[in-house]
Amino acid sequence: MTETVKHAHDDVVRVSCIRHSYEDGTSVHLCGLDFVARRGLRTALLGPNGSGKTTMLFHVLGLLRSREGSVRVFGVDPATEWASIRQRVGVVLQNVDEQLISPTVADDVAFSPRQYGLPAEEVDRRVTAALELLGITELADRVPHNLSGGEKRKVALAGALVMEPELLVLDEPFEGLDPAARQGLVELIERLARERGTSVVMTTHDIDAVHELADYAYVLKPGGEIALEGTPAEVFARAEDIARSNIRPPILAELFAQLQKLDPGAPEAEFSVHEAAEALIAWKASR
Amino acid sequence: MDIAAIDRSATRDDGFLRAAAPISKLVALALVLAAVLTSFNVLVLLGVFVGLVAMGLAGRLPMRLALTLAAYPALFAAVFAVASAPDPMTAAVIIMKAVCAALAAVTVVLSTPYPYIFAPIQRIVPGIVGDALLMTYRATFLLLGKFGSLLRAVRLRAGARGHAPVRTLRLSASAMGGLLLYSVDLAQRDYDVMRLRGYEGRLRTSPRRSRDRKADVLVIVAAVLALATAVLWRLGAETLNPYSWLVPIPAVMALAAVAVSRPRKDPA
Repeated sequence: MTETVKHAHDDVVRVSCIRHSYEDGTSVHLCGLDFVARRGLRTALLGPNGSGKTTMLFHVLGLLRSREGSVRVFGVDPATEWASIRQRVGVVLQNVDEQLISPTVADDVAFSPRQYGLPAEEVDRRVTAALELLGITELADRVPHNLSGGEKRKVALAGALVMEPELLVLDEPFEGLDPAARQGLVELIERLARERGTSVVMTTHDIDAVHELADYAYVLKPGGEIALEGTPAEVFARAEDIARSNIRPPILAELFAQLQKLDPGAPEAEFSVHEAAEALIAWKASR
Repeated sequence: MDIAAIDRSATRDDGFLRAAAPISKLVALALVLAAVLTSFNVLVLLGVFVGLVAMGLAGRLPMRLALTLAAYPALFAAVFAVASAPDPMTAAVIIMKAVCAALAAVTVVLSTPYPYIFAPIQRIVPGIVGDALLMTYRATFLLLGKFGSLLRAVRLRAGARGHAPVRTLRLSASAMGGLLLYSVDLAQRDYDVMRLRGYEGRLRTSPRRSRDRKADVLVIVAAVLALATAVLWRLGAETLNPYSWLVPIPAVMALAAVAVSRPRKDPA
């Protein structure tokens, strides 16, 4: 972790060595390194299928209680004190169909503020602001079940953002989004973190995009061990460790690793197409 | 079953049933249920049924969907009737009671967004009962949708074959077992999501008042008439039973009037 990142932000989430057993008798032991999400940072959780990413999120949300280790969100155990922190946490789960529970989009976005007893005018103001933030004002009167997958995800996100949460927990937020919607969401999350100081914890399979959607990343190995942490550049620089976690590195990381094998003078890996192109042009010019 | 169709109907703006206040419709539902419980006269129940259909049509509800939903309890009632009714008339009464009660409830469901149905109910029942009612409502429609997908999957994967009924039955039973396990999981996930979003056992809604006082009066008066008729025929059964055939006539006339006057296109 870079020193700036390590010290400039408070811990919002800390998960230390928890174990979870599933009904079928299998278990994950989310141990190794502590998982820490800091204020105003976007923290990605990477790992192969079945490594326990969603299980860890469910512990963070207090939906599961660990038999050992500890989970702290805003300094409290979410499994026992969820009521004291829930207004500060926005959530979008992987299956958004199950998350949309009201008969219209506007009603759905208004669900949380109404449950928290906000006055009707305040509810309306927040709903309008959330719909505008996601650019889905025109969907307000639609029935959520009739929307496309991308639209449903935006509605779920509007519902999560309506309380202006300090912590946003997103399980595979980019699934089902077309490239334009995906880019819009990446920019929105970045803006929330930078402008509002919202902390973001997300799981994702979108390895190629991690460098642009996260400030910090953790990698789970099969079985749940938290094997790697660091900025995306730090994490993906450890190609062999990444491979041991059953994760395919970003395509640009693979390209630069291959170049360095063939020519030790090849440049260090860059993770955006623009930066990679510049590095390659500079390398070519230097030869 | 498509839960979206139910939500779509409930959130439309047209028709007097949607204009009436949720509380008026819930009171009317209670009165109609009381009428259904009170009556053991199949013609009185038929009158209630036809009256409900007329109300639904006049209120621009998707009646195909309403009648399909109301038919589910009728199937279970028919099984019960066949097993326990001493004569065909009693069987018909049992089935008609189920259909009328279901159709009355479906009429409210198709004309009122569900938070406005459950919010007042949860104010007067214990928290756990309110939770159970709300979760049952949501899970029922989600499960019906899942059940449709399950049947399709069984058919596509050659699980259902006309010439092998025993095998088909065995596979269907095992698939139903899977659906049962899924339902437990679904209920838990559904509750978790609502809890994450601020639900604590009491659904809060914004006030939803009547958009047309005449609609409230009409709904309540019709329900009071249904209950009064049922009580009258129950108390004066010996005298009034020969005239039971009169009861459905006003309902049939109302239905005919609605059918003639309404636009051709079915909102479903």
